[in-house]
Amino acid sequence: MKRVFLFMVAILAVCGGSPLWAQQNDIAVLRAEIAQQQIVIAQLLKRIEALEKQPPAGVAESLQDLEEDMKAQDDSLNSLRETINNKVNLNGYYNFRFFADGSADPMAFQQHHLGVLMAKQLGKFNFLMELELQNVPHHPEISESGEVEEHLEDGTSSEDISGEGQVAVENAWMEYNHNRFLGVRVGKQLSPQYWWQNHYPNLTLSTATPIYLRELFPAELVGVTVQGSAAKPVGASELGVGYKFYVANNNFEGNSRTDRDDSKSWGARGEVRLPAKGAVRRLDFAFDMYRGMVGVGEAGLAEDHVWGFETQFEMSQFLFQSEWARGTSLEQTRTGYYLQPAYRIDEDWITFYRLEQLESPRIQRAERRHLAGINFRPYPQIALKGELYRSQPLERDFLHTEEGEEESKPFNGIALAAVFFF
Amino acid sequence: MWTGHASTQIIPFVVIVNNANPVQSLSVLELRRIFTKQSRMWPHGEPVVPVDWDSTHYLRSVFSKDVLDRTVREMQEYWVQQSMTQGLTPPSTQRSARAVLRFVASVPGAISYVPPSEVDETVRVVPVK
Repeated sequence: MKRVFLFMVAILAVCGGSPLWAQQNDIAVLRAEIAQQQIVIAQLLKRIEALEKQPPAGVAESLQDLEEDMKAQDDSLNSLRETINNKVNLNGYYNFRFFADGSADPMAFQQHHLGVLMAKQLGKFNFLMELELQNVPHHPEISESGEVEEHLEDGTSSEDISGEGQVAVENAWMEYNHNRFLGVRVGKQLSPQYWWQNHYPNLTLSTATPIYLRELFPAELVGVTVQGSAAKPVGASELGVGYKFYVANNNFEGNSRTDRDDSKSWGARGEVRLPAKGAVRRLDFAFDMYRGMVGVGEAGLAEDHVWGFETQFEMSQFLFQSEWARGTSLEQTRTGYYLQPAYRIDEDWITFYRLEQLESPRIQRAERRHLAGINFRPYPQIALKGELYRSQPLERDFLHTEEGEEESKPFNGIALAAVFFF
Repeated sequence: MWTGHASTQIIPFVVIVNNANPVQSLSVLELRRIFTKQSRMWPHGEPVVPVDWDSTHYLRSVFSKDVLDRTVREMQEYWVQQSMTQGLTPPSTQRSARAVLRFVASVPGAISYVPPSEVDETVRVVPVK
């Protein structure tokens, strides 16, 4: 693996060297162009001043022409600035959440995420890296996943440290798009399922991820994905199909360090987009499957098979999305799903309801959750969210309660979040 | 010529490309793919550079509705999503026909749209089927 990594670093260095050098020249040329255009603007301003001092006859037309010219020059200047800035696209998002409920962790402010995305396009190549700054305390979703939890010398857990956080690399991939039918993405990337691909707080309606999500398909993969799509026009719309196939490291804690076996995981995804007509604006279906290994402590690795369906539907102001998945490992079956109808009240307001469920003998959890909430999005970059939720434990045979352990009880909660994209 | 309808009046616009671009015609779906950056290369190998109008301009909302089948606001949301998931940025924007023409005339892979009355010999009009 080390050799492969060094080989890829060498390839990246060779591929990246020339464009970087060329880019410096481009920037220098563009800067010179900006300086030149600034001189032109200054000259035009002087001409306007001179014309304003002249007698009124014919001045109005000339002034209008000059103002048009000024506007065009100004736009050209902005375009060049944009071209320079777009050499590397820098975006990010900020998500701050508060929740209060009747669970074992009753209330917390969560500096959930501060994400920074860096992207670059070079012809048919795309590069994207995402750094996510997480404040881990009061964040069971992160610590439970095993991403950050570690035991310290004094026997406490890192969860105990208030204010401690971490920087995680969520995406770091390079993509080559040969054409619409064939593209290759290599590196650390999100799993192809709809929620994982669109899990960013700006793009989701709820403040919380579905409870089943981390227990079925892995969140991310480090490997190679081959992907493509094709479409056939149908009226003003199109019938589209797409595919993804990936081979990756197995998915267990610290997978890049503890992938002790050469048998890699693999997965596939098929997508269908049906033609939209009239009020129906979107009708997508997808099927996913995953074959891999999970770490089971000293016992080594166990096979894990997961498959699932999903759909996204949009008609007029009504939106609907749903995902369902079933996984099997060590002869235990776990299932989960969510159903989320939503209604766009107007451009700024959207309301939703989500029903979700998880049944997993592996982590001894069976739960159903109802969420209902509203989003205020005054700008596409800002989302203010509020929601109420109710969590209900389910009675299942596979659940074992330890002696002295309290049985789970239903509880209600409220959550608020402010999200900014920049 | 592609014709857009905005409330009570008919506002036409034409699609323009650089004079060196050999493309003969485009379909609405091809235009949609270009302006959503799903098509990134011309058949002759040049990178596609779509140029949009400022989001407050009437032509932008007509084009957005008629060609992209989305409102300007919905397209802004689309670009937030694309920025986060694919690292793609929206097309650059211009505020006047003169600036659009200047941009398209000087960038080989550029494509945009302007009112027919603004077209001059520095760019080429591409029919939309």
